[in-house]
Amino acid sequence: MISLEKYIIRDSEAIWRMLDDEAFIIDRAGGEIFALNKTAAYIWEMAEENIAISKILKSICNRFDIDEKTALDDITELISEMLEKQIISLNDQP
Amino acid sequence: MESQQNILKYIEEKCRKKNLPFSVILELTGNCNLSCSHCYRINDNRQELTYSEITDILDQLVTCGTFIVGYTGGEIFSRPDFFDILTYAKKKGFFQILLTNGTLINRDNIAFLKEIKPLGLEISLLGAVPETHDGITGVSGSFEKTVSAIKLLVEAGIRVVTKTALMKSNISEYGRMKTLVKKLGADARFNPSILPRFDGSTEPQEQAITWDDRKLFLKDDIPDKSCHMRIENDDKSLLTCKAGKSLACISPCGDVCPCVVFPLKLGNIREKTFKQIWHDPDNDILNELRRMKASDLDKCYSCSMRNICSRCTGSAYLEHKSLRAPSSIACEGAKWESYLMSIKDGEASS
Repeated sequence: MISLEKYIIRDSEAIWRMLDDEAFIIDRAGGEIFALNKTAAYIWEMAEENIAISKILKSICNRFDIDEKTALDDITELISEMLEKQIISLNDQP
Repeated sequence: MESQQNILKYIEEKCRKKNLPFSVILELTGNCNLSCSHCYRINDNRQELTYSEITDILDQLVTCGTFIVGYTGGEIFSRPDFFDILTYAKKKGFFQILLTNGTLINRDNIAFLKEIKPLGLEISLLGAVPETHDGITGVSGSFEKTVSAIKLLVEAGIRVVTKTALMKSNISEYGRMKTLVKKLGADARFNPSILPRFDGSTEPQEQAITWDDRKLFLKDDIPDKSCHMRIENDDKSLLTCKAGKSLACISPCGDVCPCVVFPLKLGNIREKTFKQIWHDPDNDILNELRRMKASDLDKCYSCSMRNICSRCTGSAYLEHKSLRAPSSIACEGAKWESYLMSIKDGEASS
């Protein structure tokens, strides 16, 4: 389970582009592009300023009009994927 | 790789629908340290774009929605500010593709290239042995440098694709080149077509391989259709290409064209912004390219091979000065694909 108190830190070296509501990012190793769906792209954009997961959770509930449990399940999965791709890291401090 | 291609196709399709220049090729310089016998380029004596002009173009491309910036020349590494350009473009979030002869890549600059994380690095390889490759490039020792660059890049974890123009002088080494490239850890792409020179001269095409060469050497060849974006049930994607729809090229002196092999000037970046040129509602060439449907191309549309044809509007223009003419290179390619299919059908039924 991901701690809501953690802060998301974006990889400053990531190469990325937005189109409509989606984000497209080259992974850290380079050469491989992957797509972030609307919700993941929203998390990515919010993380421009290192932000606590609890704040992202609240914002996603409001923006996509979904309950907290659904939102938490979604972002837990998306954050795990982004961690795996090494485009973000989690920190105790902003 | 396949998923990457699918993502790129997905993005490109979205861009095409909005007339966004998904991919822009910057010809950074006309200067080259090799003098390949089949080169289609001609000299342009105007002053080449400066570093600040190029960074300004990159800024403009960000706002225009460009994803991929490709660099070609001339030889891109012959520009002293090339690494600064790559660094700037990386900061701007572009996916970068480099087309080079590789001879100026060495241990000193490989670490930098790794940092840049290019989406692709394409290197010209013109033979399986020094005599053939150097014979075509006109520079002794170029084969050794190119092969050394491929090794260094692969070791550094950079994906390399070799690009080979197949000609009378290297076609007999087709199999050996495939083996060499595989051994080096790169991917190979072969092109059996030679373009006319941009001044209209067909001299380079005298080196083109014959039908008999194809039959003798290329039976396993899979035609490269990367310029095309065939969409099921879409008449606009049949017999046309990306040029002017989602692809543009900017020459060393700032001329904006629909594609690197389509030297039809749409405007010059020193006179107008890229956006003004690309979105000019009165640009007849762009309007024609974007509206053109297969059924507008009388001769091609009535051809029995239209569904397998990779018609290149650029080469049609080079050959006939017409956007709607057939391209003999594509005709030859379609004929070849049809022949390969007939062989496969024969094998399947026997």
